[in-house]
Amino acid sequence: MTKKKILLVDDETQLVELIKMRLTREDYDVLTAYDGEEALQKARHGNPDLIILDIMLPKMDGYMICSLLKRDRRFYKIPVILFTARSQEEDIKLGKKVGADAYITKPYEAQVLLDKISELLGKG
Amino acid sequence: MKDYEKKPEQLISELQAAKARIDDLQKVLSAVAFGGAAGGMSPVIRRYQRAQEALRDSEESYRALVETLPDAVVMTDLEGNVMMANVQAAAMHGADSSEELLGKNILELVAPRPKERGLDDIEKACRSGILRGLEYEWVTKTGSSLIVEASICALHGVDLKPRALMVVARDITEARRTDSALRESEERFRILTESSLAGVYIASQGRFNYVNPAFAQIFGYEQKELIHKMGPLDLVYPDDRPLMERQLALRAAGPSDAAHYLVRGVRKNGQIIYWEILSRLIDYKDTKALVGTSLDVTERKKAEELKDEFVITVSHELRAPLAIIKEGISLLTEGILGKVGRKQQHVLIIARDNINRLARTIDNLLDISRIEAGRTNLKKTRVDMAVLARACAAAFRTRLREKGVRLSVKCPPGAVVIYVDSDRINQVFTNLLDNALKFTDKGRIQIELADSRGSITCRVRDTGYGILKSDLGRIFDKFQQANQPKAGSAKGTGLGLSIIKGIIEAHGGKISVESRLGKGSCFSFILPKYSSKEVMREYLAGGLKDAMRKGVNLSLLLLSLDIRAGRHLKMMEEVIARHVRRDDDAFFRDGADFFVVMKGQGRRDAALLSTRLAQALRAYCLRYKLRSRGVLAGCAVFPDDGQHYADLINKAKSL
Repeated sequence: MTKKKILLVDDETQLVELIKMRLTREDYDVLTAYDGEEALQKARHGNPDLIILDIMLPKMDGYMICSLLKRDRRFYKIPVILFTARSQEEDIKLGKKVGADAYITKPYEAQVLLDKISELLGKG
Repeated sequence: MKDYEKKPEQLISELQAAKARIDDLQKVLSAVAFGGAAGGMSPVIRRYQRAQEALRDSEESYRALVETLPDAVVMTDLEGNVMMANVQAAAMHGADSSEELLGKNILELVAPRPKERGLDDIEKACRSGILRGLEYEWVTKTGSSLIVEASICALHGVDLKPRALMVVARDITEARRTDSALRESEERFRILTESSLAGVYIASQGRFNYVNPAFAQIFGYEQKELIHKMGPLDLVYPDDRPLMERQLALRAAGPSDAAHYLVRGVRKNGQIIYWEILSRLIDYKDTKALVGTSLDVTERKKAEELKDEFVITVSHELRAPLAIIKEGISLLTEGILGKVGRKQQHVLIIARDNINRLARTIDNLLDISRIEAGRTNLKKTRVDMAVLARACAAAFRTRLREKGVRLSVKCPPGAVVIYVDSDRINQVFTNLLDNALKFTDKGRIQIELADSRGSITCRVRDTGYGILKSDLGRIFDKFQQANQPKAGSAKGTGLGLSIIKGIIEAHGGKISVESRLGKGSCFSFILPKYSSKEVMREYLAGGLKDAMRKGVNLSLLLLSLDIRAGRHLKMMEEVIARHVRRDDDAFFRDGADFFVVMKGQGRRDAALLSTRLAQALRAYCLRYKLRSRGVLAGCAVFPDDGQHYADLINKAKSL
């Protein structure tokens, strides 16, 4: 069975490093991106099965990226988890509006993130 | 005046006049006597008789006129001695009758001006025939004085020489007093507005009639550059112009309550400021004008915005590294990066717990900062407090069992319904239970609910350690920790109680605590009950404010039934809920009246929803075989039907 591929996007390189360690341990293939442009590029050409997307990104914020992907017939099926330190109600509402499948606030419980990932991948 | 009192000249002139009349009569009589044949004499006699009647009529009219005039009328001789006075003159003098004035010299009634002035005026009147607009001080019998405006007219005899004077005088004392009172009041207004720190302006037809120095200063102009030359629309920031135009139009057309709104303004030097306006419609010099108070609130707004940004940025900046640290430690404790010894594990767990504590503190800080700024958007719904309290209690059961502490919930029978933000009130109960559990080792915790007419009281009692008397006063302050936390238990953030105090107070309630050291504590809070009508009004008022700002419509629907059964009305709420799905729509029930507030919707959409809802309700009545004469529907739209929530409610009710 092919491993599921997760695209992990965050401008905090250290966080990406740690999460990648964990996801690899859980037997996922991990693609990484550190800014909006890179994220879009890898989303469109990398064939990820799921995207973990930080919101505060340089060059283009997570909402925009999520919105673009969800409106693209080729990619809208890919589950997107919005991942951020912003936890205001308006932020969560906006997340829903752009079509995110889940919203996780930092700092997070690792298990919660993993459970959400398997839940969203199970569906696909 | 008796003949012996009259002066010789007067008597002579009277005799002369009398003689002249006799001569005339003689002529007439001789005409009659020598008339002779029939027809020749009677016309003369008839003419004479007619003349006499005419004279009597005009004398009668004259008398009536003089007596009914509200002014004082006095006839004097050329020296000013009173020959005749009307009732008003007597009254003005304070005399009991006109006779009292006869013989008095009018110049003596006019004081303290020197008599010369009076004589002068008489002379002038004799020369020019009539003198008007004179002002005198009239002294009454009792010595008090009035201010009168008078006219003097010279009366001429048959020889065309002045023989008497007619003086007409009007009491203008009251008018003078009102005038000066008015002037004083205008003066006070002027002093008040000129020295006011707030900007004040009066504007009509798009131009400033008046601005005070503070207003001019707010915008960096001179007063004279603004008055009559510019108007409020010239100072508003172009993007906000439509909002101000709407406000001005509404003020001009509608009732005269105050409009309170915020726009941006542009100063003379181009600088943009935040302009807070409170304006009212007034009557000003026979026309309608707007009087407005203005404040430059730029600094306040900037400070608010900065604080908001700061809090959000800081919390983001604190959380991001926290996430990294937490992830790192989790990786270690879970053994993903290799085996970890017991001691190492222990230390890592301590680190992780404190990260969680830090995360909670940041969340709480954000929370309290919003609550204190009045920026929590409470989402009020009908909540059964009994159900809420029990649900909260249930969440604690496991921990309670572990500790061996009993928990009971005491509620009055039936539902205890109140309009509150259920998430927030949940937060309150959770926090109080958390604290109670932390400080209670044995015994019990009890939640009590009491339902009184205007409010609901909730108490959380415990048999724990209690709180030091010296701590009681500060307990709801930020970052206060009780002085005797149980060793080994997780430390709180110190913000919990201040947050719940903020929540309770944001609902218009109060929270308090009683405690006995060693015996236990009791936290009580009271929440006022708002009727669904009040909640709707609050929602409607808020919606109208938004609609005004955005320049959009707002519709209010009313569906009224003649059903009494509470059970059915409650179920109908669910029927309505199924059709009112838009985020920006909300419904409220007041007895058998269902109100729906539709933000951003106009009459057409409102009518569509109204039809659908009416149908749904009728279908319900049919299904449950309820006797009803049908559903009455009404609709009111902002701004067409009014701009105040009361106007819209009334219009909707007028079905």
